[in-house]
Amino acid sequence: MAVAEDAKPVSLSKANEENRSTPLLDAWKLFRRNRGASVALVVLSVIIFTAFSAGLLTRMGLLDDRTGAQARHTINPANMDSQDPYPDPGVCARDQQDLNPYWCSWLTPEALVLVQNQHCNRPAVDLNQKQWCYLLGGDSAGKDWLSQTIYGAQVSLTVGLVGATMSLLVGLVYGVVSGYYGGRIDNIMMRFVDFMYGFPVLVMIILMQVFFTQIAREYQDQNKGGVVGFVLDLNKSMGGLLFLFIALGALNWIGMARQARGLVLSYREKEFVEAAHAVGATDRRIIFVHLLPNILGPLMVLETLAIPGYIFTEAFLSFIGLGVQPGTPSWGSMISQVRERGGFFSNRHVLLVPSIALVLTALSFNFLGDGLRDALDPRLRGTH
Amino acid sequence: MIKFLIRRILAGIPVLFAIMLVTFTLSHLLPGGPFSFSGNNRKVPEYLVRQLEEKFGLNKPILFNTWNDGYYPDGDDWKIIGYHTETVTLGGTKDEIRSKTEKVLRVDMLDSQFWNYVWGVMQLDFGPSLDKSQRDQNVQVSDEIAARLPVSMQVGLFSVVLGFTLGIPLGVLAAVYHNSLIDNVAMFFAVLGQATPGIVLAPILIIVFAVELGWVPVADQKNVWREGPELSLYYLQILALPVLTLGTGMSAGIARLTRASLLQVMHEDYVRTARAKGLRERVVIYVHALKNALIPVATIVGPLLAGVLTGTFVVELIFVIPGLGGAFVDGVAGRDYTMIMGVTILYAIFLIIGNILVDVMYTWLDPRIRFD
Repeated sequence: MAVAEDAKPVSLSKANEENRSTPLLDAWKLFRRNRGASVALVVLSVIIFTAFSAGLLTRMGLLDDRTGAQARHTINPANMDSQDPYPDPGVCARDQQDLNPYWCSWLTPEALVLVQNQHCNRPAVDLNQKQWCYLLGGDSAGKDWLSQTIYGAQVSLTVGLVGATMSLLVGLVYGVVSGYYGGRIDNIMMRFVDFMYGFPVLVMIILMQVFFTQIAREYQDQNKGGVVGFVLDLNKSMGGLLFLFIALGALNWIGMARQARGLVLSYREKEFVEAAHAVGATDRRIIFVHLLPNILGPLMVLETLAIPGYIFTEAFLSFIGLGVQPGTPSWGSMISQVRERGGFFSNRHVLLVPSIALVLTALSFNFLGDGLRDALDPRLRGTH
Repeated sequence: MIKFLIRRILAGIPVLFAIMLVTFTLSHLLPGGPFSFSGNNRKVPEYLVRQLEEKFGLNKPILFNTWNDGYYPDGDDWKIIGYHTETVTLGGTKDEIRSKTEKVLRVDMLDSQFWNYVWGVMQLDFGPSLDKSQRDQNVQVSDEIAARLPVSMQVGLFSVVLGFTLGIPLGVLAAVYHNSLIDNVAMFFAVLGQATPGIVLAPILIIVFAVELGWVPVADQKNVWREGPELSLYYLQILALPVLTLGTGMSAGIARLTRASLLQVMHEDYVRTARAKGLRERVVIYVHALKNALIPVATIVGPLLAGVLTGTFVVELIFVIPGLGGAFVDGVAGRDYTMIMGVTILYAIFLIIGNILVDVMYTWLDPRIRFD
């Protein structure tokens, strides 16, 4: 008797738990089991949070502003609370010797002189006005490398996420339409994809970017009306990112379209789709209710794994001067700046800052993608 | 099979044509021209630009020659497309006709820059380079590419070789010791390799091996790239860093692919049969499983080679290698239209051949796949 009464609640609670497990919850459990992916998620969250709170940090006076102008100098300490907003041991006084080693030893020699001239020998330096330090060093123009890296993270993450979203959306729509309707539509659409497959992607992106950057430069000062003017203004306010999105998006959806079509083709023949057909479900219902939830997971995994590629392309384009507009901080342009100023031979740590940022971001996306694959791709469940 | 090959190659022709059209239009849309600036970046006077344009045929319309373009050179092979009568009257009345000139409109629609170029390409003539240092010496694009392609090939081929020799053992090791420490370490390095782009790896390699340790020179001093492969220590030194930069990234991808493929094959029936026969584990893995596991790995050679050839920009820039990537970037910067076209066409051909090669490899390695 007692045993039966004990057993009842146990079995009930078990049933409850089973009811509570949804596919998403299962995926989350599987995802959490992958330690690398969990760490990657945390790292990425930190990177994303830091990057997109850069504006706030600048207003707080912790970062320089986007152009490298020293925002921290414009803060009048009198307006702030009495306590020191940035107590740093490397505060350089008027005296040249005092500027020495602490934080400022990260500087290039010429930058050190520059900073000294700018701040320490400047005749009317207010002693109350705090000097700034370079936590991660600075470049020879006196720009703070930490600020530049954080702004660069904004560019890289935006390119990666927007590139992935665009590629996913276009590829998904194209692939689903092609795969689901099949027949002649499929044939024509896939011939076009085959056709585009022969295009050397990087070469085309470079050509497009040369074109876009030249156009942007040419109309920099002119006010052009109409659609063209609007697009140019928008691009300018985005620091050249809009054109980069267009160049990246023009060709990168092709692989995704192929994958989406393949998945749709394989699921279209499954029994549950046949059953849905049999009970008279509309095409729209079959696509959105039966097919999309199944194919979205694997496609998102692929896109996550493709994000480092977009970030690298942007970094490479900025490296050769075809990416973001000059003056917009980006990891690629930071590396090229170091290279142009002979940074391979002296002052190497400044090279490491954007490099580590790039590798860390790409690594996190890779691990995240692996974790997502374990969690979201039902075909692989149980194989690992 | 032959039919399939022919069909694929024929299908590549319209792709090539489209690529030519897009590249040509894009490159000509770029502001400025190849003759705007002279060698020392001074602005070239207008009349000289006109002369040069006429010399290289750039005064012609870009895509189609219509009568609106106002370009009517003399020649016999021109089509008469119509007559245009122009009457000059006195005082605006029709009665007093001062003069009456009748012009024959002769036009060849295809006498434009693009179609002339296409015609040239069909005869394997890629035109003279318009680069400011080369146009006076009448350097042909095909010669320039012929000189630069082997350089890029050396880097590409050696890095592919390095990628496979490093990647396959790593992948096999990871798969054999599945879920062990070795597997985790190997896969971590593989992911790290994939997450390290050339613009990060190349400077670090230069700093470590060229500047700090001094084992290799930073850049080639003896023009060894152009002179081709030779068996000397210097050549190996020059080759080491660029090949390492490209090869490690590649080996990372190959290692992951090998591991995944081998793990999948280990579940197949014939592996179980081999085990059931009592074969040693080593024989099972290396003779029975690995052979089949390498099929998907082998098929990526084609796109890998094509990708490496088109993807050497960074490496060529940083290591100052006189390869194709540099030619392309310089061509774009100097509006060297013919060079841009030449390199792009070459890349496209490589890509198309690479894609065909994958399919051929599949049928060759896996007899179950057939193209009909």
